[in-house]
Amino acid sequence: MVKPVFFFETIIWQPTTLCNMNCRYCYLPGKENPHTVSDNTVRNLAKSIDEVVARHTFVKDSSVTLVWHGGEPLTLGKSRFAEILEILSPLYEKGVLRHSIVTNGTLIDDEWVALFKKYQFEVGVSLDGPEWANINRVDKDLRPAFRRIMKGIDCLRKHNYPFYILAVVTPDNLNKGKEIYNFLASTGAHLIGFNFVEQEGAHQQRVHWDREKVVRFWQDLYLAWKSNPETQVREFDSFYKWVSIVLSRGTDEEMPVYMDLVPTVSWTGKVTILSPELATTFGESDEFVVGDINRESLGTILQRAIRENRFVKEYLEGVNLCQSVCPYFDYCLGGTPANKYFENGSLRTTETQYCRVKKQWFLDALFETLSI
Amino acid sequence: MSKEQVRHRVFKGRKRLETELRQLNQYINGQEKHYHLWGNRSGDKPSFNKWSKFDKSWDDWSNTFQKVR
Repeated sequence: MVKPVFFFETIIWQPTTLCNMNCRYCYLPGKENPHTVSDNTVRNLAKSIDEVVARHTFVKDSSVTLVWHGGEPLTLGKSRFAEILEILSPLYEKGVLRHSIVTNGTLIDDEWVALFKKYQFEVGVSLDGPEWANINRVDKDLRPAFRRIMKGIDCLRKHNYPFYILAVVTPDNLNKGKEIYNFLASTGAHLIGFNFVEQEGAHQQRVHWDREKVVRFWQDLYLAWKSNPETQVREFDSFYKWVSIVLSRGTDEEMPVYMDLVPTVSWTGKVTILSPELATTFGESDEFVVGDINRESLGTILQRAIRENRFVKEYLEGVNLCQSVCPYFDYCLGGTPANKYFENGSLRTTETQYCRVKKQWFLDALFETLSI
Repeated sequence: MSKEQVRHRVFKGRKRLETELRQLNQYINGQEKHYHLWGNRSGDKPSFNKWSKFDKSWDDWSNTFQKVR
């Protein structure tokens, strides 16, 4: 029976639902709606953050990171963005809050970089590789976004502002691992993370992944990275981190299951946990809402959720099933609830496409490449 | 492959993994401490923490978790 240790170090924050893009594989609904967070909700979020850090409610460090997500957070506009930062600034100034942002990069200019610099934002830009790899990144008029994204990246580089890249891999690009890595590394990003297009939220199209091609992709990517490893790759870092922990324990010792709550707060103040993608059901159903920071504190919401929430219990039952049947459990820790829900229709299930492409076949690929 | 086999492959491949990391380190401007396996150097922390928040994965927080409630 899995006895997870719950924690979190980041809060996913959706201050607006609006996005200026309409990427074909995007899972977020309502991107055309300019819903924006109110000052009152921001103040309540600040109060909650102060409290969870002070009381160490599932928080191990003396600060948490607020990940500005969306929608596209820069569509808030500089003025509104700065107003929100001003409300949060007491927490930032006392070191309780750090800022991070995931952006499509198309709106970045000198003024945005100045704002990032002022509040020491960790900046992540979504980009899938060279121009041909970004055919799914289009705006509402289906115009490609690649050049606008690169303009934003050039602006970050001009100011020597560090950034990381989140890339989406599609079945069409599986034979281009080397080219994709080499291009992304050449942008000057210090870190790259790879996500595979998924069936979830607004993106309901089932995706077929071929095992042989996925394994080859990871192998090509690994060899490309190995020949030029100055840029960190999230998946390889995680692999070596896992290896190091396996080796530091005995072969028979059970591994502790640390479970990241990943609280996600919407523009209305609604909270979900465990998978930010579950927030895509906000507005349609409150099935995965565990509370509202305008009504009670985040700490109270989280404590109640892990104690008695139905979907958390179902997810843990699913994780138990994973532990009993899946050889890769040590590496994966039980899959993600959003994938289980959107692919299998229930959290009380095991394998998903995510498990296969990001965990099982990934591990197979590295074991094979390393001949171990 | 069973769960035990997955873990055993890592143990069996320890030398190979260490060699791999040594090669990676040599490339990265001789920054020996950039990539390394825990357990080899007492007191060292890996440089992988940066991404842990994006990927629900392993981390050894047993000490720091004592203050969590």
